[in-house]
Amino acid sequence: MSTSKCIDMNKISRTHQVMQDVLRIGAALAVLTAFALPALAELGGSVSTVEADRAHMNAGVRITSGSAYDVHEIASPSGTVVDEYVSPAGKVFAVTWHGQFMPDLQQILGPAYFQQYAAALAAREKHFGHRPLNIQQPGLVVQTSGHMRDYFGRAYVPSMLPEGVKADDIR
Amino acid sequence: MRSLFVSILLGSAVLAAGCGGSKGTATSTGTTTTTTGSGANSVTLTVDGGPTATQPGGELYANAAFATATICSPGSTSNCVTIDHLLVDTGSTGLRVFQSAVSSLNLPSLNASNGSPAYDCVSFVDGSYLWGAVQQADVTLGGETASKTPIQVISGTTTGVPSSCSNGSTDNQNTQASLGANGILGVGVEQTDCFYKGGSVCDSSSGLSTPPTPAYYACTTSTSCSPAFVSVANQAANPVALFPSDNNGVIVKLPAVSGSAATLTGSLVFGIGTQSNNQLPSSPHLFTLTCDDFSTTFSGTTFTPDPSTCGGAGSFIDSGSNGLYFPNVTKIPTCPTNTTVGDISGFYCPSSTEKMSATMSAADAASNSVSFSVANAENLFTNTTTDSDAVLPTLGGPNPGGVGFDWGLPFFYGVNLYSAIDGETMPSGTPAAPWWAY
Repeated sequence: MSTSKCIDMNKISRTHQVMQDVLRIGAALAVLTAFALPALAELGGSVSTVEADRAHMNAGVRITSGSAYDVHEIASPSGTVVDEYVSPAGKVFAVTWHGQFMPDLQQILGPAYFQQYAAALAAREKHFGHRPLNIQQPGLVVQTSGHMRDYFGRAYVPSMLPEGVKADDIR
Repeated sequence: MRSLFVSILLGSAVLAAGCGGSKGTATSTGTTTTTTGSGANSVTLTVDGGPTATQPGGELYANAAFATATICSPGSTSNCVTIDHLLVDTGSTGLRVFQSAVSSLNLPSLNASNGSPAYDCVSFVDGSYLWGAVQQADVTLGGETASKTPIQVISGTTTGVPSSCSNGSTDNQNTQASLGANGILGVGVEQTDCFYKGGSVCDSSSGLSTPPTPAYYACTTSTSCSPAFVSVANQAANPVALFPSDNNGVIVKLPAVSGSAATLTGSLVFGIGTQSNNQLPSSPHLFTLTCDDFSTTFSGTTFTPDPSTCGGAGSFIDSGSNGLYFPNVTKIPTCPTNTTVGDISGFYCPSSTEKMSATMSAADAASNSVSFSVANAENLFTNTTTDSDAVLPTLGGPNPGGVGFDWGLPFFYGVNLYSAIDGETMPSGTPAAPWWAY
């Protein structure tokens, strides 16, 4: 049989409409967002680095303010959402993500934490089987879960958690 | 029994790779070892520790179900190889095999939308990844053939892997020694590996201004690759969805076990409600999926996907996960990092086996309580009565970060798990896919 079977034009056009909506919403959010462009974003960096991540992901940002921290939600057009947790002192102390694709970890962890993550990953003992990742280092926690087209994860710096904020609050 | 079975399968693979044995020969070789549920629309499933378990010093891959496929040059019935020990994964979509196993077939390349050869990147949640070209092959499973199927041919080298694919990892699982299998047979609830919620953001028709990453790439040479759109027709496909019939889903059938066991044999049945051997039970527990996930309530906490954002903490049934991985809300001790079998802190090590239950549910109000047990994984891996067992129904571990419940292969023991593919025609009286049922 021909491979044309796997293309359903109804589905494609439906997706197209959804994507158009996502793009429109993304564009609207982007207009509302005006930050200065810093050189690099990083976990542990200042709130202004959120903008670099937003630009990198070609995304919109929605800010949710809380008493203990703000969450800057960066939603990319392809559906990956990165939440950056910003302390009252203006520092990104945690990032979480979910979506069809893994985020660019170098971008959202920043170069130093990305290196630490990569080193911890390489040092990890390998056992057959795919399972959740749980990297617990003194200055960095990275945890991931999910399956194809459905990735979840979070990274945070334990020492930077604001007063009264628990790891369980980051999700 | 076990070693005989393994040697028969390995023997057939070597034979077919060497002489390009016909599909008929390969298929009959596979069925001679079948003990349960085989037919034209099924293949044997084995949980036998994987291809390296029988090698000197080789590691055992516990709770992994394997099947054999025959891969042919499109249109040919003689230019074929038979590959055993493909990991049967209901949590992913697409057939992925090592380049070394299919190089003799000279399979045609499939292109990205810009006309250059398409390469696929698969990210696993543990940081490991697969990288390789998309090529076209005829894929035969039992008596069913998916013609002109886009498959991923896993590159033998790490040279040229884009940094956006490796994403900080050096764990390129492009060998049997690193993957623990001879490839992955992804028979999940989608038609291709970049299909989701009825469409594909990897297809240029999605309207995105740039292709998503890490997903598909276009390579002008094997070391010069850029993110690219790839049409749905050229994306690594669920071979089941390309069968002429019995193409709307699979049933993973594995028998119940009373405890750990050396090996287990079952079947992977194709089609739902299309043959006498794939009918749904009269009152199935059927869960329609939200964002390819469902909900699980465990110890008072519900792990459920957010239907509007697909965020939150979706739970899922996944034959490609080799344990029950769930948030450690009941504070089960995790295993040490320094055991005689290494760092096994990704598993639970309760002082005695813990019995518990969790409730699966879905947006359609389906609900079912499931009992399970979690044993001390260090004991399972090191106790001489279980240390060579491939079937470990009480293997579990934490799903960190408070996110969803991953019902891996231990859940499948004693269950006929129906996995219905999105967009396919379902039996009358059942909802639109994707859904899971048992």
